[in-house]
Amino acid sequence: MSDLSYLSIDQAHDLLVQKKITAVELTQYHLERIRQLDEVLELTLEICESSALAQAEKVDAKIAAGEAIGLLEGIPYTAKDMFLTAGIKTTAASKILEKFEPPFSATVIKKLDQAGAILIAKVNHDEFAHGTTTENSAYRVTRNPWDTNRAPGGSSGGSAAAVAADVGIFSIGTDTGGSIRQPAAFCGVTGLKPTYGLVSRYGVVAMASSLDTIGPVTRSAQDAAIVLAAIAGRDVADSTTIQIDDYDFVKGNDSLAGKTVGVIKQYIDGLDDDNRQVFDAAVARMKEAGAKVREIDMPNISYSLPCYYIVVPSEISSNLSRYDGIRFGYSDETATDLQQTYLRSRGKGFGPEAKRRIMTGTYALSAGYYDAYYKKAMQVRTLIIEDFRRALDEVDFLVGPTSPTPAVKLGENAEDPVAMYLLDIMTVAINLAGVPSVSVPAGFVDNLPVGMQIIGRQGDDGDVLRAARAFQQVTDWHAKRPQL
Amino acid sequence: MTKYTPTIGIEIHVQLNTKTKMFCSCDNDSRTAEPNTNICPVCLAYPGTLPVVNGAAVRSAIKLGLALEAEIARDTKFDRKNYFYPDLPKGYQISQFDQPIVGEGYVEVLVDGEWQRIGVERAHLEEDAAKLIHPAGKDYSLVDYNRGGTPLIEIVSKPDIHSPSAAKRYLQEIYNIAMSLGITNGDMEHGNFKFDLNISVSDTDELGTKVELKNLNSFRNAERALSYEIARQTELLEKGEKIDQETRGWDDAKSKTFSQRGKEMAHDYRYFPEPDLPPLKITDEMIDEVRAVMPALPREVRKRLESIGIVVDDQDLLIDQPQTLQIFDDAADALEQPALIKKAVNWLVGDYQPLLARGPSKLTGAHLAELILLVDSGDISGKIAKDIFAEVVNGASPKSIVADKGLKQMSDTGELEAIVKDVLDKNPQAIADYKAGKAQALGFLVGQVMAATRGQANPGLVNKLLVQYLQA
Repeated sequence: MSDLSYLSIDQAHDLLVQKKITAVELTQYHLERIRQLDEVLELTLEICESSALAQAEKVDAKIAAGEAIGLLEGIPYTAKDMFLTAGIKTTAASKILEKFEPPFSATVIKKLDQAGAILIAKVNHDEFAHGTTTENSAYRVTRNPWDTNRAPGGSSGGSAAAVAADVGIFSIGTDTGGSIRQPAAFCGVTGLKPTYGLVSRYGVVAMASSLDTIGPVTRSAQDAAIVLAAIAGRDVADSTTIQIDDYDFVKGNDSLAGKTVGVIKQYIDGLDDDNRQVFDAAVARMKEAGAKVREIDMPNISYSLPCYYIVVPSEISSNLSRYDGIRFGYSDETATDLQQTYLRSRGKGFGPEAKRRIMTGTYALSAGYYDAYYKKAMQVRTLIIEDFRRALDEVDFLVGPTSPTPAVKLGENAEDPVAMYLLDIMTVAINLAGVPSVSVPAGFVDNLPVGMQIIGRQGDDGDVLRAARAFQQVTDWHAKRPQL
Repeated sequence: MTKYTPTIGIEIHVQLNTKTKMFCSCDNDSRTAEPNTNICPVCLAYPGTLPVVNGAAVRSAIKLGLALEAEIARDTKFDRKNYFYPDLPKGYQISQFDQPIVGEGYVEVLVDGEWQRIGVERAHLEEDAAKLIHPAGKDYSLVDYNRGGTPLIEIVSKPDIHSPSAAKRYLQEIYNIAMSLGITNGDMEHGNFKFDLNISVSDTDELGTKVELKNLNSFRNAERALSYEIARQTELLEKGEKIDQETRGWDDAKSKTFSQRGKEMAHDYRYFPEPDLPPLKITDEMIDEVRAVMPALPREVRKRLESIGIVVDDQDLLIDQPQTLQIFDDAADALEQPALIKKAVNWLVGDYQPLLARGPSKLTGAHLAELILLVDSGDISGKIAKDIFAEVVNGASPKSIVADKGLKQMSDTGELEAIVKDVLDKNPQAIADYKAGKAQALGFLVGQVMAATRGQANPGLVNKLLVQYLQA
């Protein structure tokens, strides 16, 4: 049997088509990876062994019958536990959904199902995606495969750690303020936050509805393009989904030659020397590949973090109101009346960060404060959108570091939520603007991977992925693997 | 007459009769459904679910807006109204805050013979809450989510109403408009049309302290409760006392309003734009499409009925009964002459009503016109017409009933003359009596002729012929 480790989607597909491996063998390999690594890395919240193997058998039957299979057929993947999976526990990494078995699957899960991809596990993340290290999970503390004393980033930390550790060939995560890109950077993998509305949010536990996006975490831009092609598209069940001209993210001209790349001044100004050197070296590779590089000043980006931390908790405070212990999820059994049911179910069901955001958001939306906070934040958001539009009129892509530092130590920010929020400083503006951004591995600082984001115009996800692919043709950071 | 002027503002909630709910595809008609059967993950607010706007509800709102002569917002949006309550599964209601789909408009109502214009501040779309059931004597409540997500239009009047009768007229007018537009089932007992009344009195230009009247289930009670409230508030003010800002209910048996609850802490609903729904663009095409299928509105009907001399009570009845109005309109088209058209109204507000109350009617305008023309031409008597009306209401054609039963009135002088002569020949005593001055003898002879013709003779003609012969 061939070596099954660290396969790309294309490689795995070829091996399946050439009958060098079976889908069951490939699935078994990844289930075995879970068994080997779950104790060390604390990746999963639910393992879907029997359904995964049953699906793999179907794919093998198809191949045996000589039928053609799609690129994702038989490809094992993991999903953040924010995605509803019919009949498979979905917790949002929260106690309040401890035993929740959804009656239906998210549109994204259905699409991946239809494409033949095989869900092997639901993976860990920060509770309701609130966090930057995955330490806010109500269940486990996921480790960074590059250094198990460090966080994998967050909130899609389980997705990034799994992909870096070769548990599943890809993962899908959610990104509201950097939750795909920042853990991808921390774990040395590729993570795409698509244009807002490109991928349906239906069946995905909501964090902040006006910023939530869904995207792939992969080991290459090529894999990200394949997964995005399967999950993107207008969905009648999600009125905020959009229609774009070209859904072919996989093909096209990968060259960076002649492209103009703008380096966001506000982001590089915040870097220390080590991180700056590594980032500059990555940009230099783009130049070598033919890109014209210039600096771009985007003054309103400085306000993006405060703006984000008003808009997001406001929406969260409302989105989390439905968890009341009545229709689904955790309901406190010691309560003797309705008020107690509400207070105790929510009091015990939500973790500290969810409560903090409910309180911040409720405050920001309150009469008398609405104008000063929410309304003002929405005005700032408009300015940030304008900044991006203007900048992307001048250049083809914007680039910046994904995070000011590589992976932080576990527990480092435990007592300081603001320090935790600051890890999002380079990613949140992109969500406020709704534009696509892919984080790609761009070097190492202290033997820890760092990422660079390539940002494009709304709906230009294909171009962003082609630029990332071109970058990965001239670099090999994405091919580095952690020692496990 | 008191120096205090009442000022009334009204909020009306109309449940729309769209096929599906406001934001999901559940059946919107739960009249015969078991509790919690017309539900889905969306209207139960399961994690990950998202709302989708019901286009039919939007069209209903546009229809209503056009009927209210209101500006239809080209850019409208939905907002979240946040509050915790067991009937609200999401913990917020999707409503419209600062960009309602329907802007300022008005209705014109006839109050005590005068046309009055009453302003509408706005109308917006929202979803209804679930129904709470509190079983008597139990320590729990039940929630029926069937109603949760029913499309509602809330119509807010301007404080333009200054009498209980105007308030009642306004309520009836909005109800009739909604019914003629066909946007609601209008079943008031089942909460299809609910309203809250705000009433204050003042003897200055400034408004007085307002009292909210809730849970009134009929227009008549609204009028009575407002009259009671005006008297109560006026009396308090005249005694130099203050009005409490409060919510009051109506006790029908005692014909009194009563305090339900005092002024609550102002609710903070933390409104913000619904991020799950993009702003809604209403295009000219959408408005034109709705305009093309607008039915005649109550105000237009009333003005038309008034122009042909139909009295207000009869106008009210026809406007309240859209099917009866349709029969009237069809009959009026066939009858043309105003005198005959009035006869159609008389039939419909008179003999027709008890028959209609008894069961479904198959009366058509064509049949009613036919009946009226048969009487007018003298083919049948008014009495025969009344006798056969029940059958006409059951769907039979008056002409065929008359033909089948041989009921046609004898107006042929030659034929009648023979019968008259025959009757006279058989009743010499009556002739003698008549000539002796006993006038009632003529009545006897008429009766004999009518009997001989089985009631089909034209009584006037019989009378005339008999007198001719007797005086010859």
